[in-house]
Order: sequence, then structure tokens, then C-alpha cells
Amino acid sequence: MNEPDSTDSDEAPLDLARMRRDRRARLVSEMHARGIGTLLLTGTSTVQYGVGDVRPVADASHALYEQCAAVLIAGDDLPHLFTPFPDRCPPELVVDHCHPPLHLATPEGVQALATALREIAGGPVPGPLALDEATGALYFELSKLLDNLTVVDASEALTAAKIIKTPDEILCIERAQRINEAAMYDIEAALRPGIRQSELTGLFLRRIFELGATGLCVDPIWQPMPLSRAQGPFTVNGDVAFPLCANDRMLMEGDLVWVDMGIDYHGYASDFGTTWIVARNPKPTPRQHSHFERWKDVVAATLTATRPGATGGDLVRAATEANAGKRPWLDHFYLIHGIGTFSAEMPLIGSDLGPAFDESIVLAPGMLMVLEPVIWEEGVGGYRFEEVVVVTENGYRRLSSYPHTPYE
Amino acid sequence: MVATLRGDALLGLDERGTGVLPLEEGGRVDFHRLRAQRLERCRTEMARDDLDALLLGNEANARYASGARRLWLGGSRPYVPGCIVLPDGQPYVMSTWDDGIPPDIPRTNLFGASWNPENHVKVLASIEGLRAARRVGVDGMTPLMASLISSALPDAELVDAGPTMIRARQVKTPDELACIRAAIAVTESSLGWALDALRPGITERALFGHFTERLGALGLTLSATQCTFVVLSGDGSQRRMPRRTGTNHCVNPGDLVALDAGALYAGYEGSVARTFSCPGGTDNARAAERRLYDRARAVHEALVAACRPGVTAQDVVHVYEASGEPVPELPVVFGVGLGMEPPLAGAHLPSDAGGTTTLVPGMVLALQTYVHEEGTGGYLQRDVVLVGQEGSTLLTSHSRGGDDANR
Repeated sequence: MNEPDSTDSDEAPLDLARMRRDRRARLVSEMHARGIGTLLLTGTSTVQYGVGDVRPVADASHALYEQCAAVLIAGDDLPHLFTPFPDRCPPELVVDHCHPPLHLATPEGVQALATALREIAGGPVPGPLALDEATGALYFELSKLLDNLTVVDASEALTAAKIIKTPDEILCIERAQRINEAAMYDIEAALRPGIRQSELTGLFLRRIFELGATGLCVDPIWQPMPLSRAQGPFTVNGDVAFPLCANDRMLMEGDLVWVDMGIDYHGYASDFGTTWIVARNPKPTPRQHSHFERWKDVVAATLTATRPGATGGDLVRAATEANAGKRPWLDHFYLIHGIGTFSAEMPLIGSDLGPAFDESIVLAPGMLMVLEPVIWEEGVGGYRFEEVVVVTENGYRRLSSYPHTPYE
Repeated sequence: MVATLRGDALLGLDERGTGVLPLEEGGRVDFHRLRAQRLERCRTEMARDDLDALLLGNEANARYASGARRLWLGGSRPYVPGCIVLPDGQPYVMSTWDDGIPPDIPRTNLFGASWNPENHVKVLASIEGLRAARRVGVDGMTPLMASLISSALPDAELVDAGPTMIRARQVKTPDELACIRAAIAVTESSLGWALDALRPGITERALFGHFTERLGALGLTLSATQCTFVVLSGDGSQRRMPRRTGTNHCVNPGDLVALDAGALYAGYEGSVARTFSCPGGTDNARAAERRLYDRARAVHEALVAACRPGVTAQDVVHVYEASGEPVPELPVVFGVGLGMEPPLAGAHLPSDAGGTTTLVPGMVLALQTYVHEEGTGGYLQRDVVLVGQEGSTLLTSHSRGGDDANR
């Protein structure tokens, strides 16, 4: 396989500088439309969106205490980045928009932020200030330090900017998906009775890093499914318990295993889900195979309805109709979620945000959608696979390409 | 292989040795006791801050209070109260199932994850003990969540519980220490595997892949930081701090390579960094590695000696300054437990991040040393110490690049 990090002549060129420029333009436009004076980003995926891929993947504790933060003030189309990782600062920010890190978990650190905001603004900080997420100290101290500046939630502006992907963003997700899938061929070959979940994770990680991934978005899932809900763990909603964390559990002959994970490539997530059978010679039973056939029908119906102008409600109805009137997804999830710098972002379709919310989502070219219908037959088990598509002018284009082995 | 054997030598420190499997006569860690003691510490600190409830969204805080083993996700998440602690009874935990939930927590204390913040806040309003709470501690917030919580709990005053949880978590229990030791042992063992793979032509990222493969073979799946094995070059950009993110660039003979990692065992991090030169280098390269090792060792030994009860974390940074080596733009001292935690002290860090914190027995601290030679390269070392009654004990034992004893 070619090195996915390089730009080969036979594939579309990935232009990271253009991607950052296009994303900033989208954010500036949303700030303008909503009258936001200052945008303060402290979340991992939102700073990645606003500035670029500026930090190594790490868990929430490291993200908190080795924090990256970005500030975009109305009238400036370049964000200011505060970072402990200056070697990863995008070149357009190096001269005068890259600053030493801030410590936003304590009052003194928030005081330093307030001072920096005034300096950047060259006077009073323009309000309202839109904020994505905050520590307790940041939330309780910042407004007081800035003459009671109005602080609003940035999530609507961020969602509006992020929901349509630029061609470069789509290419990043496509490459993340390609690395993820390339690794899975080796993992499927390694799947055998007695192997541990953790061993599969180790092999998978070894392979994705060889292939050029930069990290993990989520601890990979290799979950043997119960035959019935009653055999599985207790759930508060009565549905099938999934996804359960991996550990050193051994996968045994005959286990029906649902697989799920996402990797990171230039700040963008992949999403991979499939159903495997653990056996020397894996072969689904006719009942198991019928679940897969039903899954294919649901995906075909959903994709037939996928085109610009269709609503999330249209897709929910198409999927439900193809499953004889029953919603074919887990109660605690959704039929569809988006993917980008966050592994499950808008559009969420079929979630507990409700039918009116689904209707409010209107598909448009450049929307990324992960279809994850689940077919479940109580007492027998079920089939789950994730299909990644991008909405195009005429319909959709598939970004996932892994085969449905051992089902076909 | 020498390095790996030395990493495994840590096994002798505990009376039952350090491993990840339970033994017939009892586990190496008593998780029931661990959870009970952690929850008790939360309650002690809640009472000290006069809090009637904690609404925890920080994953490490939620795990500390509840023991819930939830799905690991990279990066931060906007605040959502996923663990609720009241003065009595078991915590309430956001989990759609009871897998990964300690048996002490009744099913009635579980509530499902939601995509709709309004549904989430309805759950809060339904918890009787919470409705009566007047002073409620939170460890994060978003403007949206603040307005929803205020409408669900109109009589509650919200205050920052960040400091409350920092105090609760700061001194480790014996069971926490056993978890940290296991995490360090697994990190050092996996680091040794990566070291065996260090040869010209391997990419920085692929080298990290060897680390994670060994981690999986030992039964664990996670490292708190990802892809953090890097060549430390001799150019001026790395004078005060190392590069921190691995790339697809190949390692060359003689390159100085930092192996910086932290495997997670039961949520606890085994935080270790070492620097080794890639085999095949010239005599000059090996001599440079030894020079950097000697400089780093001098600082490291001074830092370990400085970690005594009664001094502050900033005092330890002063010892770095007094060594004559430039203080790197990294935390010189940080706490190790459920990931990275206060006290943090060093360049760019305000004093309330931990510099003014007085060290007391039972704290576990990472100490970082970074030295650089123009034109040659950098050398990063991170070790973990346990603060004792008199001084500190080193919990990390992996060999160091440039140490003649290992050649």
C-alpha cells in the first residue's frame, strides 16, 4: 500500500493550508451571522477545526493540563493559538498568532487568558463571547474578569460551520477510513478462537501506526454479542448493551463479534464497524445471514433516499419501512451520525433529539454520514456494520469499502 | 533485551510482585477497598467545601468517585454531569448498562447517555437528594449546560469543585499505588519491546506501534498519549522543549529518539520517557548520547533528592534552575494518578497549578528532565516517584540511553 501521508500523483491532492483557510472562512461567516464578537475554543476537536491539527492525540486528562486554546476575534480572519506544542503551529500563525500555553484549570490561568484577550483585542474584548467548553475556573471567573462580558454557547455556530465538509476535509476522512480498513484486513486474518480482545487492539494499533495514523479516537470494541437481551448486561433502556469496553477477554469459538473503532488522521476520525464470527472456518447460519440481508435492504433504502434536499426524517422513514416498520438501530444511538474532527458529530439522525429535530436536518452536498443500522433478532443475535458516505450533488458517494466477510 | 529485563525488575518491589492477573490468594489490588476509600475522600473534601452534591463531568474525577470503567475516548469533551455524588449512598453514574459498573452501585443509580441535553438534565431533576442540594460543585461547564442545570435545580448555587477533587485525589491509597506500579511495569515492558524495534528505517509512528502491540499482549489496550515517539534533533527549535508528536519520518542511524508513553491500568497511568540513540550511529553519536545522559542524570538525581515532604513543587523547579541546565518549557513536576493531574509546576504554569502545593507522603509525581546539545540532539527523561516519610522512592526503573551499565 502507498504511504497514505504522502500525496501521490494518482490521487487528489490534499491541501492542508487550503483546508484551514476554508474552515476559518466558515467560522468567520457563522460568527458574523450570529453577531459573535469573540470565539474562544478550548475543546480538542473544536481547536482542531478552528486552527488545524495542533496536538498529539491524548486522553482528557492530558488535554486538560496540556491545553490548546484558540481565540478568534471578529474582524481578524486568523485565530490566535495558545499551545504547549508550538512545533505543530500552522505556518500562517507562527509570526504573531502563536502564544505560549494557558492553564485554564485555575483562577490565575484564567486571569492570564483575560489579559491575553484584552491584548489581542487591543482594548475591551468584543462580546458576546462564544465558548465551546470550560473548566469550572474558566466558566466562573472569565466573565467577571472581562467586565461581565456576555458569554454564550458556541455549539450552534460550530455545528453550522462544521456540518458541510470541504473537499480537503472529505479527503482526510477518506484517508483515515482507508488506513483503518487496510489494518482491518490483517486483524480479520488474526481473528481466531482464543485470541484476546486486547491482542486484537495491539495488532490493530501496530498496523495503523505503520500505515500513518496519528492516534486513536476511541478504544477499539471487539464485543461478543449475547443471543438475547436477557443474556447480556442489564441496560436502563432494555435494548442490547453495546458498545462494551475491551479487556483481556478471550474470544471463543462461535462468538458473534461486533467490531467498532475510529482512528485519527490529521485530526479527522474514521469510523469502522462490522460483524465477525470467531471460528476456524467462520460461516454464518441461515438465520444470521438473513440479518445481514435485512441490513443490506435497510442501507439500500436509506441510500436511495439520500440526496440533497431530503430530510433526516425522510431517511428515518425509509430505513424503518425497509425493516417492516421497526426502527433498525439501537435505542441509545441513532440511524446516522456525522463524522469530522469529532467522531460523532452532527448530523445526528434518529437520536433522542426527536422527530422534529430529524426533520430540521436537510441534506446538502458535503455532509458526511455514518449509517449504522442494527438488525437484531431476540434469541438469535444480530448484524451491525457501518457505512460511511458523503452527500453529493446527485446523491451520495461511499467512502467505506470493507467487504462484509464472512457474510459474503 | 537488557532494557526489557530491567523494566520487568520492578516486579520485585511489591510483596506479590507486579502483574495484571489476580492471584489465587487474592488480587494484587483490592478494588472494593480502592473504591470505598476514594469515595470516602471525595466526601471528606465535599464536607470541607460545604458541598451538598458533586456533578462530575471530568472523566478522571467521575472514575475516581464511582469506579465506573467507561469507554476511553481521545481528547476532551464538553462538560456533561456523568457522575453525581451525594453526601450518602452510592454515586449515580451515566451508563446505559451495568457492564463496567462496580457491583456496589445499584442499577437504580444508572442513567443512560443522551444526545439531548434536556433529557440529560431531566435525569438530574429526578434525583431526590440532588433536588434538595443548595451548594453544588461542578468540575466543568458549558453555557448551555449552565442554563439547563439552573432551570432543573433552581435553588442550587453552582461552585467550582475542581479544587475539591484535586485535594481528594492528591494522596494515593495503597491500592492506587499498586495500580500505578502495574501501569508503570506494563509501560516499561512495552517500551523495551519498542526499543528492540529501534533501527534505521523504522518510522516514528511504526515504533510506537511496537509499543502498543506489546501492551495488547499484556492484556491492556490503552496508552494515555498516542504516537509520542520522536527523533529529537539538534536544531535550535528544540533547544527548550522536545517535539512531541511522531511522524512518518524514518529514524536514521545515531538519531536520538525519545520514547514517551503512559499505559493505563484500571485508569491509572504509568508515565515514563526514555531517550536512546538509534543503532548504527558513529562513535561520535554514541559519545553524544553519553554526554546528554550524564547531563540529564545530574538534573534527575537532584530532582529526586529534592522531592521531600514539606517542600513545595516549585522548590523542586528551583532545584532544576540551580542545576545550571536551562529549565525546559514542559511541566518539570506533575502528579500521576488517573492520568495527568495537579500539582503541576514548571515554565508557563501559574503558581496555583500546583507550584505552591506542599509535598506530602503518598503523592506520586512525574519528574521531567530535558537537555539539548546544539547540532547533536535532545534527551528527554521522565520518571515517577512516590513521596515517602523522609524522601522519595523511584517507581520507574527502565534503563536509560547512554548509561554504560547497560551496554
